Amino acid sequence: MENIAIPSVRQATIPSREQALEGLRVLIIDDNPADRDYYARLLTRDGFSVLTAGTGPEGLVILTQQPVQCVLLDYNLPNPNGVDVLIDIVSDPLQKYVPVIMLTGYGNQHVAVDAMKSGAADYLLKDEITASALKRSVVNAYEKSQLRQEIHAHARDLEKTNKSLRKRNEEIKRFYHTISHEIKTPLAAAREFISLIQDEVAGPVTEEQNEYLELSIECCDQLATHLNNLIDSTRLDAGKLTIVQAPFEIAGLIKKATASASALARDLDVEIKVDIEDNLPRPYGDKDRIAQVLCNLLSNAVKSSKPKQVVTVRVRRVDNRIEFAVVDNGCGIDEVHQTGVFDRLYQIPQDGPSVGGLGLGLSIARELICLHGSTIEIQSKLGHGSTFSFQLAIAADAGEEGKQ
Amino acid sequence: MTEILLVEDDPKIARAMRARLKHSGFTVRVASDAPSALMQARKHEPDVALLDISLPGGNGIEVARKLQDLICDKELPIIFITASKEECLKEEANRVGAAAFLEKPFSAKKLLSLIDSALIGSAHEMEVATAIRI
Repeated sequence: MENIAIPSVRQATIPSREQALEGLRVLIIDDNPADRDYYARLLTRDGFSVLTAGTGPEGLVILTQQPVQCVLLDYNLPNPNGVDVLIDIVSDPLQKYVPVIMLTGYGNQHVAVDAMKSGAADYLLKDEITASALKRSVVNAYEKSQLRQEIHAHARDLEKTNKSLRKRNEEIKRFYHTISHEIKTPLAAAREFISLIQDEVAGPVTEEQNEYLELSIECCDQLATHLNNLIDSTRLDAGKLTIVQAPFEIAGLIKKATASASALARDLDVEIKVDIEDNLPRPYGDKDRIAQVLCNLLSNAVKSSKPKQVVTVRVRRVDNRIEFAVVDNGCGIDEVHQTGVFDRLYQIPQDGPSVGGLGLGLSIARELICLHGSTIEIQSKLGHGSTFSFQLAIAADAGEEGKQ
Repeated sequence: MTEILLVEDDPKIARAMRARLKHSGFTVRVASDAPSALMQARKHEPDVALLDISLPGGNGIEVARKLQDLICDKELPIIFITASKEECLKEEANRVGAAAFLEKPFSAKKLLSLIDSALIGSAHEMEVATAIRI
């Protein structure tokens, strides 16, 4: 290659970024020897190392033989033309990060658009090429391709992490399921054996023995509730928990919910009162799930009450909806914890003894009410008790029952 | 006397349930797997079957289907015993005509009331069937 001495116009202070870019290998593919040599000279002067090719196939061979950081490609190559060569380069997986700068003649700007669409990193008008424009374009194209490469690497890493997290999540869910299954069978057996003794199937039982057996049964039921919460929680996560909505009777629901919290209330000497407005229409929802929510709210209310205090389940009509509220006069919840209590595994820091629980109940309650298209509201003041409430739609008239 | 077929692979829960059912005046045949369940059913023609939905080596649904085929002259009410809320299994169980689901752990009251309603339900069906025949 002919080397024409061009006075060096190196700047006194070269930005370090550009310093690092010196030594980049640029491949020029151009059938015009004069143009080729001119670009080579400009690039060499700026510290790039240069390879040249007169045809597309020749250039492609060079690309396979040694690493090249940037390609300058003439659009007006004879068969195969510049765009064909461009497509060959960008579609080769081994070359996909090699930026290609298209060189086009004046008046050929429209082809530049095609070239960019086909994957060129940049284009330069041959007539307007200067040393600085050429250098800037090569450096930019190279840096852009480096960034692209990094982004792709990050994306691949993220995808990998994501995949392994998803797998892990699946494993955990399956594990919960297996655990609960494996625990429930012996739990059911234990509960039934206790119940058999209590019913004096195996002989007479003293009053004190009966009391202990009753407590054992309560423990079994508590364990079952925890297991069900664990399963519900993972099922809600996976979006696999579905509700079956229908019009239902309020009285039956309240009876069911209070019955399951009554043992705890009795133990803690807290009274549960029921306050249902007269002549309420039937609400629309999943009766069993609503009972589960109320039962959770009730047991929380009982746990946060002092002996002799009263917890009230209040049902009334508010506009066109039925509002269910559980009101207590217990310890109340500090404002800073009022949104947190609905988060999974949230435990309010306690000075005194722990109130226990897995920290799943309220998060499940919130999700279940959310599945009904509603929300749970909390009103509470530390030391003055709490009110948790939610509203359900009123069932449409008999002819419309079961729809919605 | 009312015959109950209990198909449950866990020996402890099977024993507890057998004791409860016997105490309540039922005749109980226990099977721990599919082949013995079918054998017992053929021999004793149960009035109700209590069937663990997740039996090892061939699920409970399959056993239910075979039991229904085996006892063709009357409807055999099947109460499925489940350990968790296996919604998809429940759907399948409903397709083979589950009379009820009993979720572990359960109370004796629940167990006995489900058996009662299953028996009433099947008696009612028998009446209907007889009425249609007449």
